[in-house]
Amino acid sequence: MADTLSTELDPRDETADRGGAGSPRLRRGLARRFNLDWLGLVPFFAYVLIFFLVPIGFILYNAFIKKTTSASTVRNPVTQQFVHTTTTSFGGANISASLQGIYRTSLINTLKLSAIVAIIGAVLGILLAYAVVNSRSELLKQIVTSASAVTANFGGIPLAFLFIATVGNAGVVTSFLNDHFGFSLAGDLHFQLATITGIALVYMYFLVPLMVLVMTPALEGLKPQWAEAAENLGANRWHYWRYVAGPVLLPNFLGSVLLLFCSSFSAYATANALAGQSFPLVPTQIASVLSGNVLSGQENLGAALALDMIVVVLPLTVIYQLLQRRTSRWLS
Amino acid sequence: MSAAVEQVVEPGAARQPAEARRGPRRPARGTVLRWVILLLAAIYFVGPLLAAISFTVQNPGHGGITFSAYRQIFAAPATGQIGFTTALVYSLELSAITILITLALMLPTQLLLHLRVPRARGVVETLTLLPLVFPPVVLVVGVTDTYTWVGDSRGALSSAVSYIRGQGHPLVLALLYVTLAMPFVFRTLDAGIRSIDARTLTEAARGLGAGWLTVLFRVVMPPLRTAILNAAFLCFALVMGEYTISSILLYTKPFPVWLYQLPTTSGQVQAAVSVFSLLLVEVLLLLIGALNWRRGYQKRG
Repeated sequence: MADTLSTELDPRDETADRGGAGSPRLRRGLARRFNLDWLGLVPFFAYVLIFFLVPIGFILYNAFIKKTTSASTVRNPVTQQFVHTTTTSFGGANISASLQGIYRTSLINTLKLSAIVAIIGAVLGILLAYAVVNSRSELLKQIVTSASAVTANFGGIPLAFLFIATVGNAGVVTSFLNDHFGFSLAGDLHFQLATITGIALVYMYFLVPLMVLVMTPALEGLKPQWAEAAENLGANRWHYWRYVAGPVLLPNFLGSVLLLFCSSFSAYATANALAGQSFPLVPTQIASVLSGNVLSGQENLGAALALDMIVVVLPLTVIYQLLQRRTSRWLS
Repeated sequence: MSAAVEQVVEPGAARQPAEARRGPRRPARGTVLRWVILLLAAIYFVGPLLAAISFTVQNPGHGGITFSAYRQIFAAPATGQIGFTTALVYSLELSAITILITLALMLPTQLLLHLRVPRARGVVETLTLLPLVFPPVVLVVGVTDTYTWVGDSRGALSSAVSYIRGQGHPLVLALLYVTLAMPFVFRTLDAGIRSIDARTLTEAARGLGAGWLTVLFRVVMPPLRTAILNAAFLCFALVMGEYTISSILLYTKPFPVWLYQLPTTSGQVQAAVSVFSLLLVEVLLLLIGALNWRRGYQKRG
């Protein structure tokens, strides 16, 4: 019995000694763990690779590839046609083109618009969230939370038409003010939907609810004991906000400002419906480039513009995630 | 007015003794400010909706009220143009495909993460968050570039892709929407899987001799139905509103694209469709909310 066992085991042990780390037993253990369990993740990884990472990879590559088609003087000896040679060169030509002229204007416009709406939206959103959290009516809380969830997702084309019907050139409010008070939004107030003010007004419609959704849990996480403890130590309302609640909420607030900035920076549909090309923004310029409105040889400008956007959004998202992690330490 | 404010303050005084001790004036002022904020918010958020509704029913020629804009929505389209029903059905089809692919991909993956390979969780979560960093308008650039590259390759892949695109088939869009939905779906399903004891359930079922498919469909999915429903709704809302990718890739039938290109001069029909689509999404969300609320109530009770 003992003999048969040892003879059975012997060859394995030999290979184990010879094979070292790659011994069959170890390999089979690894194989079992990796093959069965990790194999189950293959569909997910493959999907993300094909439908997300490959397209993003093309952006990163194409942004630096400039195609130049030159009408050469060489004729094809058989057909007698001019031979067009397409040369591709690697370099920053697309990137620098994407930072000039109309594209530079659109980048500045987008940054300015996003900064304005992020800050105003964050302040208004936290005020609204505060008003709701401190309300004693459960019904009001329920209504505002569900309404925020709807409106925060309500962007795009219908939103633009809603505002065009309200304060557009023939909108209800516009014509009401004009007919009854002789007051013109466009003339007296210089208000137009296709300007930075107009777009900012419309963007508030989904950014403020987004802020409410993000800040409500944080405000609810402020423990009443902190306020009581501060008061027992002689703090007034201002002291409490300045030294207790403020610092606790600050990372969350700053993170939310970044979130609002990124979501307005990448919004396309609403801006396109409101302003089209009359108020150039990076997303609308990308759409214009992709639909063929570029000079020959600038086909990869879209990739360069997309890269510009990535360069702005990526660091902000990373900072946002770090700030969120810092917040969760206190407010849970 | 002041009496009403006083009444509102009264019940809170018991809950927050610290505030009550400082005398009645302070909380009262805070209450007024709060109601002003809520009132302004209500005007801003409800106002445009009411204005748009009144815009859609006003009769531009003669004054008075008309519902012709709403009748026009459902009227048969002119020849060569896409009708409301076609666009709506197309978008519904698109969202159904998106929901199916998303759930078929994410549910097994996330269960596997919980039960077998928790080490891979970080990688998978980060990958699902990527669409937040690369917004649709960026992704569509990459997709266009990929199409160009595939088109240049002239292989079987190229003809397959151009065939699917040529048919205006929703499949390509749905495949892209799945990636857009990932950040939200991951979080929703993750919360659901955490709230049930998936490990015990699966081990018990496996111990009783159930196969993996039985475990998935008859043991794990029933308690997850709220999470699955929420995830499906998120996909639905995303697909119904998505304009960037579908319009840039020149699809004409998805609902928002159709809405944008509606050939009307007054804009009344567009406003009417916008109001209609907002109300549609709102009703659905309220339904989902009611389902969640009922489940939460049952759990507590």
